[in-house]
Amino acid sequence: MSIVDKQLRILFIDDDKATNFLNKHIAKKNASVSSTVLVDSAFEAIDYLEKKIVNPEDRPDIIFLDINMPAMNGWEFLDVFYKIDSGLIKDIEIVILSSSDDPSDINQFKSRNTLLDFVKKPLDSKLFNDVLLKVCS
Amino acid sequence: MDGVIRMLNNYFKYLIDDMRLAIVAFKNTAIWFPKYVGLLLCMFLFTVISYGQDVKNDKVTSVDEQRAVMVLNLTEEVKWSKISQITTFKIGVMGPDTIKNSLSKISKNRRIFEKLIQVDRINKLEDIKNYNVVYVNSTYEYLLKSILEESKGLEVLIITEGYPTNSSMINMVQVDDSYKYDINRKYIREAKLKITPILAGHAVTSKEIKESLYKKTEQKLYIATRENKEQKKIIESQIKTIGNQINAINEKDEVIYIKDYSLKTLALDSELKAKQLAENLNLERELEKRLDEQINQIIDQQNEIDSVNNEILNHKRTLEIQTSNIKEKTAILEEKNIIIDTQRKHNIILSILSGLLFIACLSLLFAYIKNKKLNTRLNVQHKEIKKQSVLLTSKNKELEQFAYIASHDLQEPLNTVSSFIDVLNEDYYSQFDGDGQQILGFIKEGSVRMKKLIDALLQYSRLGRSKVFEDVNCMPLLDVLTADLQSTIKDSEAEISYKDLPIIKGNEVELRLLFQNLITNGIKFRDPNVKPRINIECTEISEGEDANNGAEKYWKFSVTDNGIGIATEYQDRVFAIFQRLHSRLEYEGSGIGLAHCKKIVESHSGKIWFTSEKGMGTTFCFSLPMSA
Repeated sequence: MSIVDKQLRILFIDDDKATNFLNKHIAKKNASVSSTVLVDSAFEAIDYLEKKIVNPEDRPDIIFLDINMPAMNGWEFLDVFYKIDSGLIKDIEIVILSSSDDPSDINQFKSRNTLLDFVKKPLDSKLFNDVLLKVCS
Repeated sequence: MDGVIRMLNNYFKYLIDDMRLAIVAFKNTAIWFPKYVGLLLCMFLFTVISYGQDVKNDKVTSVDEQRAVMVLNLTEEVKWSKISQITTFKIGVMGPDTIKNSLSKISKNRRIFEKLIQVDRINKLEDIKNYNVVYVNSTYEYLLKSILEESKGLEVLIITEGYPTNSSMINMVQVDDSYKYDINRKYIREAKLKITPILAGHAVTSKEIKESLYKKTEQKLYIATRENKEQKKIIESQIKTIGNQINAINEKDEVIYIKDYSLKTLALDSELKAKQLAENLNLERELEKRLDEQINQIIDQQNEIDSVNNEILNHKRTLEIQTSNIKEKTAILEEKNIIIDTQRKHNIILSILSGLLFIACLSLLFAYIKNKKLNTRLNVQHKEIKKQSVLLTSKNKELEQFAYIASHDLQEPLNTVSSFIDVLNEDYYSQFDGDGQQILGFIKEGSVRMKKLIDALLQYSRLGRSKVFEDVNCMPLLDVLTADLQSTIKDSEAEISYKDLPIIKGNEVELRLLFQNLITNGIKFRDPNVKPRINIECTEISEGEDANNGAEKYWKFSVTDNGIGIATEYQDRVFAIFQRLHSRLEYEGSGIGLAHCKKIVESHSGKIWFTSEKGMGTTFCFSLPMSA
């Protein structure tokens, strides 16, 4: 099932292994996804990005970011992320993928206009496809 | 002879009682003496001769007077060397007053050594030296020794009476009706006095002589008494003649007395006048001198008075000035008095007012103290309540937080389960056999129901969080709501009617949920054969009427359905969370709808309740305050 021409690289950041597994399963089924990377924490994500971001071929196109994570949450991750050379990250889309409907989180999302979308968990094929369409439009 | 004399003496005593006044008046006048009756003269002569001690014949009357005469007579026979230097002859009496009186009475008309006689009573021994003669009577038992001691060498003659013989210079003794005396020459010599031979001659020198004399006299008296008796008769007859003659004498005496008296007064008058004239002359001269002196003094005094007058005048002027000053000041004072009076009145009023104020203050103070006590108690309670309310709020928040977090965290694993069931259904469904596929169905169903419950719980915990109320117009709200519920309404062929609903204060989202829950409940709990009819109304009510706040006005909404109804015993239960009255097969639902309603109404400071009849329908009512 491919509705987008592009071949996209996806990075999922979620501390829950089951969720990551599900997300990968959904992403793999989509034809527009060329590769899927899973990391268990924001720290790991930063490590990964520091290594891969220099090479445009390894650079992810979309990052699905969970908010409620131990030690460093999604918002803290973003603070670090935006300190990276803006030339390197300017094409990376960030999608919040969270079960949170805490108004403070929603307000936080609204106040950051660099974020692409806020997707309520659980992710399913339809939601995922919607996000890809949004990215390509 | 003695007896006769004695008799005559006695007789004379009686006589003298009658003649006393006349005799006393004339006793010292020599002129009338020869004119007296021969009998009287005779009698006196006898007395003097026979009792030579009566040195000078005198008309002795009572015992006291006899004594006085005796004292005077004795005195005349004593010589004082310094008699010429004395002006008055002083006689002191130490004895009864009667003696002194009679002595002074007799002395009044007699002169001793041509000098006036002064008779005094002596009370103190020291006074003896001031007298020429001191008469001491034994009645008061004076100590002669001390008297003699006191008079030693002072030319004071001490005459005593009733003391032992020779105990003083001259000691008199009364024998019968006459006096005898003895002389102590030694004492007289010591007193530097001299006595005449006559005195010495008649003195009784010793006791024995005196006694023999006494006895002789006694014998003579006895004989004389006999003769007396014989002669008495003769005398009695003679008395009568004498009585007549006495009367004649008395008459003549009176005439003589009168004449004599006038003569005497005349002579005295002229003499006195001459003397007075001479004295007056001297006095006038002296007076003149004194007058001159006094005139000079007066002149001096006049000058002084003049200067004093000037001073007085000055003083007067200053006084006048001061008086005017005083008047001015008095006027000022009166003014001030008036002011003071008014001030006093003011003061009284003020004091009354202040008293009232004080009482008011006191009562205020008491009220204040009482209030304060109450306030402190109230404050304590208030604080406690506040503490509890804070605690309650925090607990509530905690609870809400708990509910939220619990439901949120429950969602995550449920989401996982649910998502993987979906994966299984999509990708692996064909690999399960019939039972396995059915189990997958149950798991999916369970997870969906659980998701709904968790969602409801989350929603419930979020209700009432927002305290920001806005104007909510119920008419358009219900229009939108019925539009949203269109499919449900269509399916059940329900009729929903509402009109004239007000604009109320509240949270729009929550209020919509409230109406939605009530409407869907009305549709849901129906007899399958009956088309549901739901009517929504609103009226105005007053509640909580009390004295302080008055009535608070409420909107009362009622949502009436024609459904299956609710037994009254479930009144409380239906509003509890997750409470279901029916099986899920009969009526599906989470059992949280009415709990939501209750929470929403209460967070809007209202109440919710229902009235119902089984099988006839239910009316849910809720009240919302008009001024939220």
